[in-house]
This record gives sequence, structure tokens and C-alpha cells, in this order.
Amino acid sequence: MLALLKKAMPIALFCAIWEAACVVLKIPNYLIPSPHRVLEKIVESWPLLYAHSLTSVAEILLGFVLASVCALVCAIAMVHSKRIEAVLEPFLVVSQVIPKVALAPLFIIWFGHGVLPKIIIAMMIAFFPVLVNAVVGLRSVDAEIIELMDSIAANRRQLFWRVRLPNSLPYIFPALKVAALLSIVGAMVGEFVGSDRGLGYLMIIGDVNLDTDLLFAALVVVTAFGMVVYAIIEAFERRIESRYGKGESQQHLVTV
Amino acid sequence: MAHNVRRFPLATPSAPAAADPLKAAISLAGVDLSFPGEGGAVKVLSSIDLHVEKQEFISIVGRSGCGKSTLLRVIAGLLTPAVGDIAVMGTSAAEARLYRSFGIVFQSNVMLPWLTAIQNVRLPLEVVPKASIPPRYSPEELLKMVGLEGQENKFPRQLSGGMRQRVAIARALSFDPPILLMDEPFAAVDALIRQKLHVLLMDICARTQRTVVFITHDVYEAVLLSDRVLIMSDRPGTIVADVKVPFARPRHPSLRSDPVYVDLCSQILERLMQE
Repeated sequence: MLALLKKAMPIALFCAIWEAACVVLKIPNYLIPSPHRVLEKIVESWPLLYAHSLTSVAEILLGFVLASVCALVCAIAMVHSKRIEAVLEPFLVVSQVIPKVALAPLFIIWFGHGVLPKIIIAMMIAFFPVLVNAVVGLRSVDAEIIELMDSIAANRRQLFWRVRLPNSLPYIFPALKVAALLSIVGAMVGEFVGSDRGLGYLMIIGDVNLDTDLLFAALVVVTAFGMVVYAIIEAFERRIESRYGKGESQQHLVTV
Repeated sequence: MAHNVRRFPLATPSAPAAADPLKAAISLAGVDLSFPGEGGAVKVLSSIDLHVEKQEFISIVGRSGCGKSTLLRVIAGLLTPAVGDIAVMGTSAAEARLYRSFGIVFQSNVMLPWLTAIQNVRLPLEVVPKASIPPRYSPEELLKMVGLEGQENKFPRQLSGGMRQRVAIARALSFDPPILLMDEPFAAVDALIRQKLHVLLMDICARTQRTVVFITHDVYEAVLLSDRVLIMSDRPGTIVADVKVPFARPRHPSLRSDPVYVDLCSQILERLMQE
């Protein structure tokens, strides 16, 4: 609890300075609303924010989970078979080079204004970091460990479950954190481009009506949600760390 | 000169004509092994004949890179030679692995870092389906035997190099194999701990009657521990001398100050220098 308080201190300080700046410099609400004004807005339009955040949360979580599952399956297939790797690799390179955010309008044309195109965009953005890290984690087993498993007559399946998979966990968890945050970006972009629901939609509404309070309120809600997801994955990561040694997982993130 | 220097017969290895490969613990005949290299294959092992009786402790000494570790991997079936016959407990090397005929201790005390000491010792038992005859010692008993009581639930990173090597020995013994293959197991630990591990290994061998093939470049260690010391030459590796160590087992580390021991060691060293 105390640690949490310590972590929150700089943010509290920042909010205090922000509040003071708004009052002293008389910054108008439509430019930068003060923190207490944003808080008031969240409270007074909570039903609205809540209803729209349900849509966004569903898009983000579905995008994130689908991306992670697909990335893990692809990684396992690629590590398992050279042929699958050879077939998938060019697609993966191309799909990484394409700015996925720029595909958002296309998905809106194809799949309409519902949640589906947002899920797809979130998924496409979140997919790659998990894939790359999972492939590296599954592959980078010490040759000596493989020889050891060989010497005790372990078969391929045992090598996978007992060595490759546990070896990949410190690589996968930091990637999942990145993927969770990227799927938020994906869902928001999708909602900006074309939607009638979601926190991204509220931000656009706030923008066109010069209702900056609403924009900030939606921003705070989506940020809070992102922090919760991040904290949950980090808790899992800490459990992994207790097995693997501290700081082990941080070293392993392959940046994309 | 305080005493007469005894000369020991450094016999060239006898042809295993009389030896029955089915009765021996390990029997290699005419084994050749090459690795692919730049500009053609490089011959690493050349016409190796090796015959190890059951419950015999043999050491193979040679300079770094002479192929002694490779030879151990051939015995373990991790490398398959192009030419030659191998029998381990009367079966092929690959079968011997499945029949749990041997345990290996590697030089680097390799371990799964996410498993505790006791889980690492149990690993070989979990990989191969249960044997009809259960091993004589449980993983807990083995860790106790190597002096790691109370360290069962520590992770490898929490153990010192010497302790990890003991876990590796316990792991190699987990399914109670008749043969123990050791690849320079004590090269990475300091001299004091190495002496302790020598005593431990001699104690384990006395208690559990195992055949041991011990790879080392330390002649003193080889003579202290073994019934026979085989000297290997460089590139391609081949066994050039077979020395019987004239001390009964079990031995005591104080053997190191025995003049016969000292003479034998210097003679083997001399022979190694010629290679």
C-alpha cells in the first residue's frame, strides 16, 4: 500500500501543479480543463462514460487476447517447422512494414462501423511484438540444455513443454505488456476513424463540440483501464520472476 | 634422488579380442568420427577401441580439444560415428539411453534454471516412463548423499558452482544407472571444492558400485580416482596408452603424498607431453 502511495506521489504532485497553473494562468476550460473539472465531468457523465467504455474494453480485450493467442500459435508453428517458417516469414515482414493504423479506414469500409474492425485493428497492432518475442524465447534455449534433455532421452514434445515453453515465458510477458497497450491504441484509432460507440467516439464528440472536459474525461478513463491491464500482466510477470530470478524478464524484450 | 623411480608399463591398448562386448559395461571397436569442416571433413576420433568392465572406474586424459569429450558423447549416443561398433551394457548407445543404462554429468553443470534443485534431480525420472524396478535412492536421498540436505528448494542461481555440480551428480544418479559418464565434471570448481567432490565421488562409487568413465585433463585427479587411465592423443583423437593404477579401492585422498602415486602421475604427464 505504502509502495503504491509512493508511486502515486509524483502524479499527485503533477496534478497539483496543473490545477494551480489553470487557476493562476486563467487557462480557459476549452483549452485545458483543470484536474478537478475533469473529475467533476467524470462523475457527472459517468453513465455515459461507463456505457461507452464497455464497448472499448470489449474491443481492446478481444483484440489483445486474439493477438496473443494467434501470435503464440504462429510462434510455436514457426519454431516447430522450418517450412511453416519459410511460408509465414515474408507475410510477417510485409505485415509489420505496413502502417496498420493506416489500414483502419479500409477495415471500416469492409466491416462497417461495429466493433469488428476495431478488434481487427487492435489485434494487428498487438500481434507482432508477441510473435517476435515468443519465437526468440522458444528458440533461445541453451544448446547444453538441449543436449541434457537428449541425454535423458526426452522426446520433442517433452523438450517443448519442459524446456522451450518455460524458457520463453520471460520473453513473452514483457511483450504481452506492450501488446496490451498497443491494442488500446488500435481500438482508439478504429473508433476515431468511424464509429458510433466507444471512448474514442466520445473523444471525437468532445472534440467537435469543443467539449474539452468530455475529451479529457474519456482520456482519463481509457488511461485508467490501460493501467489496470498493465498491472494485471505485471503481477503475472512478477510470479514468473520469482522462479527465474529478478530482472530476468526485463532484459528479454525484443523491441519491435 | 630419494627413491628409485618406478617405471610403470604404459601399455599400448590391448586389442579387445578376448573381450566380450556383451559382458562389458562399455565396448567400442574401431570407432571413427569426423565433423564436417571447411575444406572437407575433419577427423576427430580415429580407430578407438575401448573396453570397460562392469564396476571399473576409468579416466580418459588428454589435452584440450583432443576429442575426449566427443568420445564421451559417442558412448552416450549423442553423436553417431560413421564407422565402428558400440555396445553399452550389451545394447546400442541409443537403446542404452532408453534403458537408463547411464547418467551423464556435463562440465558446465547445466540445469533448468526455472526448476529447483530437487525438481532438477527428478527431471530424468519424469521424462522417461517409470521403470519396472524403482531406483534404489529417491531424489531426496540422492541430494542428501551429495551433501545438499536442506537446499532442495533452492533454484540453481541460488547455488554455488560446486553445489550445482553436486546437483548434477545427483541428477545423473536419479534413475540409478549402472554407468556414470562424467565430462570434466570438476574443471570449473576451485581446488578445495574439487578435493571435496573427489571424496564424495569415491564415496558414492564405493557405496553404489558403478562403472564410471571420467574425462579430465587433470592427471592427478585421474590417477587418484581410477582403476585405469587412458591417454588420448591429439587430432585425430586416439587412445595411445592404457595405464593400470596399482591401488585398491576405496582410496583415501592422502594417496596424493604416496611416492608411487607421484611417480605414476609424472610418468603419465610425461607421456602426455610427447603427444
